[in-house]
Amino acid sequence: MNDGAAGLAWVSLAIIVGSLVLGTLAVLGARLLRSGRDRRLDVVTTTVRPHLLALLAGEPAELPPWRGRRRRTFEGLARRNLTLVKGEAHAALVDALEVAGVLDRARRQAGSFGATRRCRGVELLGRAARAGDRSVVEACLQDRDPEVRIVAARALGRIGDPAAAPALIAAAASDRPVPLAIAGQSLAELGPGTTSLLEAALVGGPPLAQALAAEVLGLLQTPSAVGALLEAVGRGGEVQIRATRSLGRIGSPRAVPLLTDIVAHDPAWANRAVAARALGAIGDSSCVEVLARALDDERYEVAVNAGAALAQLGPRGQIQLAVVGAGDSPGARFARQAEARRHLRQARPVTPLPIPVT
Amino acid sequence: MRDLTAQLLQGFNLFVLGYFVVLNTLYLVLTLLAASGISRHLRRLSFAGYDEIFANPLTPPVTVVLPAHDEEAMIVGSVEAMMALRYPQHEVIVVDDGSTDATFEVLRTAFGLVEVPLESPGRVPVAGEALDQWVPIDGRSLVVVRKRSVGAKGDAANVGIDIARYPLVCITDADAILDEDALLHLAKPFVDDPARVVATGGTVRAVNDCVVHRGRVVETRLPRSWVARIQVIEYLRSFLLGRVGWSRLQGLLIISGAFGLFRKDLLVELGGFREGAIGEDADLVARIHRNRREQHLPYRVEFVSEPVCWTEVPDTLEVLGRQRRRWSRGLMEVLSVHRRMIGNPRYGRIGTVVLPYYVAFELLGPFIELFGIVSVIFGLVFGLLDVPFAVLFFAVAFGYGILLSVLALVVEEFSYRRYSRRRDLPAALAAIVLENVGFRQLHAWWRIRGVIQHLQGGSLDWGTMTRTGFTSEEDAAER
Repeated sequence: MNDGAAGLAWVSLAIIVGSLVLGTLAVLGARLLRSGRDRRLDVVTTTVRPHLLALLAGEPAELPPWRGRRRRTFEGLARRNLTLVKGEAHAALVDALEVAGVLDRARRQAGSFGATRRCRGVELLGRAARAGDRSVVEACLQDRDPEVRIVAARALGRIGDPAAAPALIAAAASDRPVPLAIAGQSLAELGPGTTSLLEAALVGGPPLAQALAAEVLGLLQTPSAVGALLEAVGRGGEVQIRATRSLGRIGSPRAVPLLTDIVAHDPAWANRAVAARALGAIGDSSCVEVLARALDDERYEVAVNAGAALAQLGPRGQIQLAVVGAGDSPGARFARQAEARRHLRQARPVTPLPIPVT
Repeated sequence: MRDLTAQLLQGFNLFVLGYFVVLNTLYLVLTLLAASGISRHLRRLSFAGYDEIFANPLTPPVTVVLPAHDEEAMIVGSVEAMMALRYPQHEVIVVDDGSTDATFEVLRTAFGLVEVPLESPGRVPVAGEALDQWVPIDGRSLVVVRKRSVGAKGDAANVGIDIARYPLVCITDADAILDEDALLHLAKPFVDDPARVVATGGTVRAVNDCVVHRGRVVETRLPRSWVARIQVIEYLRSFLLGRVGWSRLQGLLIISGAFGLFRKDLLVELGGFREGAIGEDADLVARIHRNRREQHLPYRVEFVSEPVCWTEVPDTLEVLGRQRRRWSRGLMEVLSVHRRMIGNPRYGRIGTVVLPYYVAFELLGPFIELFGIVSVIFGLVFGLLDVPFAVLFFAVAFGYGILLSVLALVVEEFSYRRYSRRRDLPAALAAIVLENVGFRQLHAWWRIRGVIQHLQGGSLDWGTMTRTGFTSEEDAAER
């Protein structure tokens, strides 16, 4: 081996040993810096916290003109507390953040280049829940980064302005979609003020918007939407599944004939299974015969849901379960299990033993 | 003749040296990718929306499946902790896989179980017949199924998958401890990208000597046993950073059987875990990739660095050796069963990058590593190699590995900081040195033996994992 290679060997060794030492120093240094920073933060927090508490308690006091670390600590505490308080305390915090320019900064961040900064800005605007910020947040529903879109959808739910509903419905069905579960949660948070828009989307929107509207109308338990939901049940696919589920949530007896027909005749097993479950939720005992026949369905999910639904239908359903369970048809085992679970639900709860700590 | 031998030896050792450089550089790239991924994850935590996922009635419910075999000491605490996980809607299914101890009896007493008619769709093949089904009398979301054991965890998990009611299925171990929000974190990718995400895996860490109270880890400590300590470092480097790195490249091949979340419809389509598979977790993920690629369906398999599943790791070399031989056999089996995917562009990065990597570095690695070290020592003893070359060789073989482990420790320190006690740092540094000088070579030997056992095709000796139990707060106070 020549001298060059020998030199390389020693240089490699030196680099590795040096990196080892550096790594160890990095860990130690990080711990030292962190403990120093935490101590300083504790001191500053002790100064700032009484003012924050006074603000939350509604005491009219001017905040001192803090700069540097004190200002940042106050803003951080205020931001964190935004999700923990409501009403006047929340309004006081938001006002303080507005005066400090923090919300203005968040508005600027919502349009900045980095996705993380945009998310942070939109998140804070959502926590502040000022209706005036709705348009800034709405613009982020079409962001190129999926996480920004999700944060914006949630923020609109928190802002709670029903005027955001069209944008949320459109976002679920756009080329840059917001996941249906997230848009649905936000729309439900906007409350009953959105139902007419949702009904319109259910009737004439693109398929994903229809599915979203069907789901949210059920979450909001909107009796006026039953007609539109019944009409949507005939469309098949995801719209049908979600509309059926919503009919069960609303509990309208008007849906019983259609749902009974689906359980008896729909070729798609998923539709039959969801319809059976919805019939149980509605609780109309006129469908017990169809559900009893569904216990023999070739699909496990339909039979199980039919059993669970019968158990919810009062004495007539329970008699059917007992009759089928006593027989030897394929559905007898599902009937017996549903009956057993119904009995358990009615049984007195037992107190479990304490957990042994080993 | 001597010159020829020296030249051959030097040529071989140069090859091994290059191999080590490439291997460790790949690890370095994965570590850097992981560090950037973890940093991104931490920066986004403040707006991740876990509270919203928890409050959302549309969050997909989860079935947690716990296969259990002779777990009477831990099962009640474990099930209580699983049922208390912070998640909008989840059920727990315990599959008692032919336990010979009182696993079922302690469950029955603790939860007031009563028998209900056994009902399953039978769409996931199961070798060991399910015998009966029990539920708590107070209506809590727990199901206990007893089955005949065929000595395979995957078979027990298949029973749970078959009767799972919910669209997502979490497979975990009966002795595993999950952090309270673990399920929320693992389910987030499914909520954020429901159309594409088909499976997520979470971080597994060693629970040995950590303080556990009511089924939760309340204080993290480095284990007292050196064998377990070394595994803490190894899990950190390979299982946390390695898998985060692969996940960022969309090339995750292994989701630990101790903690993974899957779409149920896909599990049913695949027939659950393959009967008789030794490396059933890697085999399942390989089949997921294969299924999606062959059907040209967009999909993502994600690794989430934050949720932690704590599990007891072996603290004796004998048990550890048996575990690693089994893992090695499992890897051989996966590569052999899915050999058609290796190097095949049809399977994307999994075929062209990940599987070739596993062949070149995980399968052949131990052979090259051990032969390389033996040949350098042989060359030095017989004067066929010069000292500077040997120094360079060992610097790369051991030093680069130590460097990577230290880097992993630094990443941990700047991210999750689970080991924050002062005395843990010197112990961790010592474990890093021991891991690279001694343990790694022993590990290579175990892996070679695993490969040989696979080629011989003998029956698998699962052995017994001796549980020492968790450290309670009272025990911890005494230490």
